[in-house]
Amino acid sequence: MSVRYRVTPRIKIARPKPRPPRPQKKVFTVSTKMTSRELVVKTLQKLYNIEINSTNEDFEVKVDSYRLEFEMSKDGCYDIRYSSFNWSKAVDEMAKEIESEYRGMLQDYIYNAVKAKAEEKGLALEQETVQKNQAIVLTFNLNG
Amino acid sequence: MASQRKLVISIDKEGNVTAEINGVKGPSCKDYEKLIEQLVDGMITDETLTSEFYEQENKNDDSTNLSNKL
Repeated sequence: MSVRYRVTPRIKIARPKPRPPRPQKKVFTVSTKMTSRELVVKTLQKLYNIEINSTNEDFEVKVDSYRLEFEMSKDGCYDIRYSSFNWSKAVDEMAKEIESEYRGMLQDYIYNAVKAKAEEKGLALEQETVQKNQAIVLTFNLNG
Repeated sequence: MASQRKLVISIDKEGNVTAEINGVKGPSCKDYEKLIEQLVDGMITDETLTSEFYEQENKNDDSTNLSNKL
């Protein structure tokens, strides 16, 4: 009669324990209405004191712990993209802050551009007022 | 006596621009469209005609001044 044994050696290859899958980072996009790269850069400099060395239309900046990609979308406006495990309220607020500041700078930019062009053309600025809704009204005399 | 011709440009908080030509009667007020586009560095996308557009044009209005500005 023969005997059959099952022997487990002390040294063995452990069976891998199933691990939960690592959470993957996702790319989130915040759409904006910002169209001018020059003004976006100026806005970022003003708000966060960031220097942007790249001259590409699309560029990347680091604000706090976030790496934000400014990417020109097909409709001609910038999208702000970032990678994260979850949607970030902080980035969303940041995007709103950037866009709000951009709008304020846009008014200033157009105001200065109109005044400079008018001066170049010899138009006399007769009146300049700021309305209650913060609109700037420039009145030029066309008789001169 | 020529009327006071004025160009009023309004820039709102969001950078939207409206422009109005005052004191120019008749369709000649549209002669200023190019000047407006040059000043704002943009394109006119919408227009609303005011009552002055339908008034009779004063032929004594000096239009030579405009051509100097375009």
